[in-house]
Amino acid sequence: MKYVIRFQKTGVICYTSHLDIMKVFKRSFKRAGIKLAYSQGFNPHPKMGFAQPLSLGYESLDEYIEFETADAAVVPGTESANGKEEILEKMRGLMPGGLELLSIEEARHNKTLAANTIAAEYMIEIPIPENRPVGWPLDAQEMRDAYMGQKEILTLKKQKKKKEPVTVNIRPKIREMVFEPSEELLRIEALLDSGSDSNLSPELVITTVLEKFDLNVPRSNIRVLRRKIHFKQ
Amino acid sequence: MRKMIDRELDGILKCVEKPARYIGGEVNIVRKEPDSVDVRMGFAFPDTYEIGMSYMGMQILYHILNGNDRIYCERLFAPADDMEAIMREKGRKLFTLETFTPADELDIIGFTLQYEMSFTNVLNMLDLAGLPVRKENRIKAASEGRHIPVVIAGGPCAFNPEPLADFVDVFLIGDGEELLEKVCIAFAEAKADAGAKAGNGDVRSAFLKRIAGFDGVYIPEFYEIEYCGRDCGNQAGTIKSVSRLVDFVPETITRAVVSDIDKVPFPTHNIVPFIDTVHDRSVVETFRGCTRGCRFCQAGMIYRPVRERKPETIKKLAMEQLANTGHEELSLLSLSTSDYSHFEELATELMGLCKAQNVALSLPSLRLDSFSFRVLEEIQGYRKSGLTFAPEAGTQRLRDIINKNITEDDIYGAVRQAVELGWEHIKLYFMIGLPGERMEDLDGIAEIAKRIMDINYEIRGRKGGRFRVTVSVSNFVPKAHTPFQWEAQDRPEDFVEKHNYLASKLHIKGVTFNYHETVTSNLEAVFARGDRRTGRILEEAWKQGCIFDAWTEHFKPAAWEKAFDLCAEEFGFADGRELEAFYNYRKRSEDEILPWDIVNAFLDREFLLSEKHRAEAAQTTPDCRLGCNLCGVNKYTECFV
Repeated sequence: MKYVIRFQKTGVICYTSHLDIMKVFKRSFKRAGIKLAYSQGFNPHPKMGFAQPLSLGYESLDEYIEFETADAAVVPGTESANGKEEILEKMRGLMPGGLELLSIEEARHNKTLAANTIAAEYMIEIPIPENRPVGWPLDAQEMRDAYMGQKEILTLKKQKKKKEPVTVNIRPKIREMVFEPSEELLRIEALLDSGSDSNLSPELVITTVLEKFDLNVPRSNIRVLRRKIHFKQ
Repeated sequence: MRKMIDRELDGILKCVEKPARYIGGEVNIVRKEPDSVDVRMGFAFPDTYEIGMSYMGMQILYHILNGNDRIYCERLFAPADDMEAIMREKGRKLFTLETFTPADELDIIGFTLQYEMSFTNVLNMLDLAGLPVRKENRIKAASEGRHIPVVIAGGPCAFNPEPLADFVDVFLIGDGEELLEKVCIAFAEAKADAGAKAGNGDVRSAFLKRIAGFDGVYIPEFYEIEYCGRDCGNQAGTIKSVSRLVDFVPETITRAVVSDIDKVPFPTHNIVPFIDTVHDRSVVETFRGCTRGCRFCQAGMIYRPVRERKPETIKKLAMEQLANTGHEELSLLSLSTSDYSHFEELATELMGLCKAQNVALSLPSLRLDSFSFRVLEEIQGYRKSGLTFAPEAGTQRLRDIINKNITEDDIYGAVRQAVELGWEHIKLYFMIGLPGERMEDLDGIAEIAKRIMDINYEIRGRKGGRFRVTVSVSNFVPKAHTPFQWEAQDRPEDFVEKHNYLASKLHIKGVTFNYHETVTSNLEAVFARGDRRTGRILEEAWKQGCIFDAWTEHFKPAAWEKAFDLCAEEFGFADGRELEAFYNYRKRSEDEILPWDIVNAFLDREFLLSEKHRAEAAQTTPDCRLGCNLCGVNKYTECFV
């Protein structure tokens, strides 16, 4: 059986990588006595995966992990034909603080969640430094127009294999942005392409917003929260 | 209940590498309300999280202490350099991973001393906690009304506690399972006795009095060391006398020993780290101690006698750990795995249990007999890691001197089997600079590597082309409480010459040669046998910026040299090299008072001396399972229980 668990990752646990969290799930399944199906080959690994990896340091309210159990009887000792609620209950008791399991569903698609992911919503919080930029806070609509109205938004992006970063235009990958400036905080709600077809990291949005509005805020003061992942219907 | 982290720490974590090292919150950590306990202890590992979390002793003691409602034991690790820089910049103190409590607010900070090259990290962690590193300055601060934790330390390096005696209040020597909990409770009692109004210093005095008589407790401030001057008859700089300053401490410290290891608690809910650590697996200690009596091996001496867990206990612990951690690997812990008295049954059963659960079984330091090969075939299958041998020396004569009872026939017989079974990689471990070593012993190392390559060619011909031999050579460091404790160590230039000689000899196709950093081995030796004054060298080196000395990329030889030069003058030596020579490169006389003589490790001096003399005559001493060799340990505790 294939299932999908929806969960949240909030608080200090955001400083673990998605591979670390994959390991937490793998071990929690083992602790729960839930046997996962394994891939074939020389290096068999359990069949499980996230919809979309979450960057280190990001929190999220809407994460998905899919997995395939080895047999229909999912939790030893539970007789019910459909033991998905039992899976959720067992797993809930085993997760470290900050990982909250919200719900479980049977997987509906043949394709993986990762292949179905198309976009993601992020909330980005940028604290405004003490020596405010001139005219701060700006008008929300004006900010949106100024940023989104750009024909091209060019920025440097590190390439996986090349040493030299390349200039990319991120504008086509931004679906929608809302700016909520206040005295002390600039909050941005952004809907960005996400997934294997087209993907945009919020990091590039942050860099270009800071540049555009001349904000001098160290990256370590900025918080990113993923609110929602959008899938193909 | 868990305190949320503050904005500042959150910002710091966004700037550092591997921030998960500093967040705690792992599966199976213990959460308590700090106000609900009588004693708060910080268990400190003086190295990074990844190294400390791989150390089973911490898991054992963490679970024993936290099993007691009166104690809350939390964890402290050395932050990596990027984290340390930001902490210092922001004035952020070293904090516990359980509750982010600054370490200086705890009652006790307890360091585990696993290797000498972590000593500067002990000083650095105290400093990061905002505490004076020297004990006398902490006592002074406490007398001025500041809350100051008591600093304790244990682990194998506590068997020669003197180099850290000026920085540590109390050493715990020997098995910690019973002693550490007793000491923590004594602190609670001392606190209660002294009353709510008592100052921190009063609690400390009451505490020291309470624990002074416990086996395994060494409180250095109650002993005064006098050194020989130029005209004292003995070598200048050696210890003239050790005298007690109070009558409630013993003349020598009897090491703490757990006599029934099967009955002491062993963790079943190990903390499971989020990030990759050196070892992240379930581990069960099968037995403590070793009967083989290798003369260079400190562990083989100080962990006597052999004490085994019952096979049922081991299986039960293993299964519980796997069930509670979800680990994908199980390993057994002891000094020489195959020496366990029911090893074949145990290994067979564990193989079955692990296979059923998709868990990899790892059996380190197997003796390579036919049973081991069957086991290895079974647990490794086609994914064979290298096969490891530790002949330690290149000729039979030198192996007899060090009492390493492995013969060339053993090695070549096992290699033959291994090659026939399809192993592609043989790893060999040797030591250089052993007492009695000659050039022919180095030739012997090359000879063994060459013979192994030949055996492979003989059996597999040209098909065996991928076959490799790795020769790893470490530098001999004489250790306290061993028959070689009186021996001189090789000088750095000797080691370098030998490394070069071996490198030329081992220029053989298919053979890789590795060796250890020379200077580090010489430094390790200073603190392995150092007296109380060597603490000054440590302090100076730390002030010059030395930390993480076990890490090649952090090691600062020039700073160490400067520290030696500074201290040489202080101790009346011509220069740093002469000072180093005093600790390392001279043979100590048999009647010299040794800094670690204060510790009674249960080994008779006559036994160590007789082993030394047998080594000088290249005579072996049989495994003591075959008959008692009168080491003295059975005067204090029963052997083979």
